[in-house]
Amino acid sequence: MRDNNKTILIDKYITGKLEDTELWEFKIEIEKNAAFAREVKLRKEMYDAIGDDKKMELLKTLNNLKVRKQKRIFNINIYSRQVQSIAASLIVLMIVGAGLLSNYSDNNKNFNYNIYTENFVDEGSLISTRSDVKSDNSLVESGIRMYDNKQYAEAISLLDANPENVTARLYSGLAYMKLELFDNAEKQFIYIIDHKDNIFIDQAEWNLGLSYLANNKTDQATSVFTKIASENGAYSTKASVIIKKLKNN
Amino acid sequence: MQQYTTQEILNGILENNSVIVQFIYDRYFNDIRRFIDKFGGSSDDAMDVFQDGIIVIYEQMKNGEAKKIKNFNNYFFSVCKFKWFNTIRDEKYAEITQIEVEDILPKFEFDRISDSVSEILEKERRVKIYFKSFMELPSICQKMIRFVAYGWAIEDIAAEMEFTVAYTYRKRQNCLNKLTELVEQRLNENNNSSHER
Repeated sequence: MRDNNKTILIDKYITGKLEDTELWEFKIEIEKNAAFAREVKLRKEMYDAIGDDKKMELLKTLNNLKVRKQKRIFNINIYSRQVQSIAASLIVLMIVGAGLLSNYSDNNKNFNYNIYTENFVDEGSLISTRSDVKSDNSLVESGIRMYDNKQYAEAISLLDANPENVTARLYSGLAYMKLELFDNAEKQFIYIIDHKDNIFIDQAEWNLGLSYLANNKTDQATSVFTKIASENGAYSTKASVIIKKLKNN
Repeated sequence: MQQYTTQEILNGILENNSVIVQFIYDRYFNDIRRFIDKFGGSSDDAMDVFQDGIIVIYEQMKNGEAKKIKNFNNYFFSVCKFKWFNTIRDEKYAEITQIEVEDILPKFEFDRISDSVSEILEKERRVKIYFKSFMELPSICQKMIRFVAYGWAIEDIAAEMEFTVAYTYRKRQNCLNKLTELVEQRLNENNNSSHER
């Protein structure tokens, strides 16, 4: 059975669309071929999970809680000990100085940040597979490996040593996003977009928009998402949803 | 803090109401963390257990088993405790294997929970892997596989995505291959790590 045919038959079986004869043959194949039976079972379970929109959304909500919790722990670690007293003084000054006006800005910031966390997907590990891009630069390849191992700071130090390499720029941008250093991430994505002659422009635009959001640069983010939405590419539906949310806020 | 009835919480989970999910987190997470900490786990373990507890309840609601849950507080804790006991038993946490069921849950309570949630937890272990792998796919693949999972015909997917049918066939195959590869890799890692421990 060719891969494509097999995939179609399994899909038809799972969705109850096999004709009588096909169904009979399919069931015989399941009976005599344990590997095939496992594949069908796995596919069915995957479809059940992925097709359950509410559950997928619930998992996303739970994941966001986890991300926010990790971020809080990270922040607590950064601001411990000697920085703590300075930070406390600054916070008091900021509260007194900014007063009620800050409420609006904070709400807005949280709103934007939430949209960012809902939409940011780590596509890093797929980029090289998807585009068949191989780097002839071992530093870049080591940087990508570091990124895949979640050693983001180390990855950046290797990737940023290759400013001419767009793959390195993209991974570096994603690594900066992981570290929540959005100003730096923006620079990398802008370079890729301005470079024009590469296949990462859609990812760069999408992640630039998200970085702007996370950085509370609502106007710039809106402008980027409007452009993406108008181009009917892979991210256009998601961009339209974001624009709608930003308008309704 | 705003209070909710058991029924409101259960409906909130089923409907993915983020206010309710946040309430559950604010109200119960620290207690779960303290419990997990007492029995050898970390804060990350507590978060995993918390997530699994919510998903178990979602599944039970979906399967029409809501009447098993008279009091959310008690039930949710029992599910989380059961999950943690299973984790340390299955994964053989070396330093805490001496923990007995009775240290965590009364035996009768353990048996009651075990009957209703063991199967769900085992399935959810795999579902988490599907979810994680799916979320790593490019958005175009996510969209396409979602339509496939809904049971849409290839022609409808092609029309919705404004692709040719031939391209949609190829793309679907590539996306499914990538998803299966990621899932199988993770399932193997998961199995190997449980065996190594």
